[in-house]
Amino acid sequence: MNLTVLIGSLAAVFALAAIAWLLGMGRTPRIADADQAERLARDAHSGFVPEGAAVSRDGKAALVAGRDGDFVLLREHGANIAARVFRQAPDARRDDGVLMVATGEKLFGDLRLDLGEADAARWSERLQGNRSEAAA
Amino acid sequence: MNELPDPVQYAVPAFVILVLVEMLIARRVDPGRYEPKDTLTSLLFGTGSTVAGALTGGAVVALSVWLYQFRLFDIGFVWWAWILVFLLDDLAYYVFHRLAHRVRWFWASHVIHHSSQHYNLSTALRQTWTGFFSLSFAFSLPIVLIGFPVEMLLFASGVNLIYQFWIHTEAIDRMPRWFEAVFNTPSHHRVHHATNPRYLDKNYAGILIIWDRMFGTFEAERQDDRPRYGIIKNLGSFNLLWAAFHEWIGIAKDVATVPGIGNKLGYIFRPPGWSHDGSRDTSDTIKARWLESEAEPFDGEISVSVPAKAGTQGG
Repeated sequence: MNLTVLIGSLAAVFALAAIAWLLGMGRTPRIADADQAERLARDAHSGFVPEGAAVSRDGKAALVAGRDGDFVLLREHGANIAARVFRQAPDARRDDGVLMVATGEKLFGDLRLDLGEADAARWSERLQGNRSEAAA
Repeated sequence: MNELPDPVQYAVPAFVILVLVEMLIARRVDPGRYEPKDTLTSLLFGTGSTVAGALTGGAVVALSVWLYQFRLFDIGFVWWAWILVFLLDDLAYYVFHRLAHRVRWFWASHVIHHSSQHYNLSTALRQTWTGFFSLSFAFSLPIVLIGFPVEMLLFASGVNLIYQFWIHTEAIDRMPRWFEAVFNTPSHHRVHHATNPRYLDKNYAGILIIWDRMFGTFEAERQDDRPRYGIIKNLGSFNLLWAAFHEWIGIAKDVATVPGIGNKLGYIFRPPGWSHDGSRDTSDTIKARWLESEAEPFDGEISVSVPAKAGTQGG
């Protein structure tokens, strides 16, 4: 491979990515409701039995609780949804109606769930309760 | 030495045109099939892999030529040798590919190809940068030792690579029945890229699907279980370097922290997702849990064990 071929290849790569962008390819995925979040969580974690989901009001993320005390985090990634599985409740902090859930992964990032005051408080309590139970 | 052309070099312009054509079709059918950042990542992996190949290819060819002097037979460029070399190279690819999903050392390199959540022609070009490091070339060396000329083998490998380009698409549903029975097709390969438990570790074929049928790793695509692409623990990031090296970094961290030589070797050579304390998922544990949950009604009393974190085994 010589330098001309390499430069030509890179030009083609960036041209194709630019065309994809200009054509409006990709779509922003939205998690519509708890049912969809639970289905996505089951897809992401085989054998998972969901028992309730907190879906961010912007549809960009969700937290799904499992029957066995496990949790699945969902968030948009490009045109898809990416997931993380936790055996125990992940760390979270509440800021009014927003619940910030820590994943411990710098590149995946933390999850921002805009749930509204009441739901954020309820889920924050649920996560805390689950952690205390696991620690006991 | 007979000079044979590098078929991949000639195919690259066609790759570019076909990606563009598929993109235009996808725009009409389902714009979500492409995502600009994902496409850029895949294509940069493709370019990077050709650079890596140019840097290490000489060493592989030199090793092959050196081994050729110890060949068992003098086969030469006879017509039947072409047929045999294509078959043997495809079988060697099947063996390599199966191990690439079952041994973490090889998976660390191969995971890059599976790390997109999309399945389109740009995914075909999403190739590893660390293939040389994981010794993937070693699987073809026995063919040289049998006595097939190195140039012939390189040509067959190039054709195999080109063949695998067009099967990375959702634009083609099914090929004619006879074709699906013998050859690897978009349908068969969608199964291979899927993370649905039913599809994990299936359809390793390069050109001929007969190897999967022969060795019990074939699974047909089903309408009621549409493939979900990617890896079990999807990256959730378009960071090129993280995508390229995350599994190698994972191996290094595990080996550095786990006690005992057996465990350390386990983290290198056992299946992706294996852990010394059973806290992660392999494709086998995922399938077992799925089968268990399939056997009982969803809202019934199911007893499942849930791992601390998912492994990174892909489809």
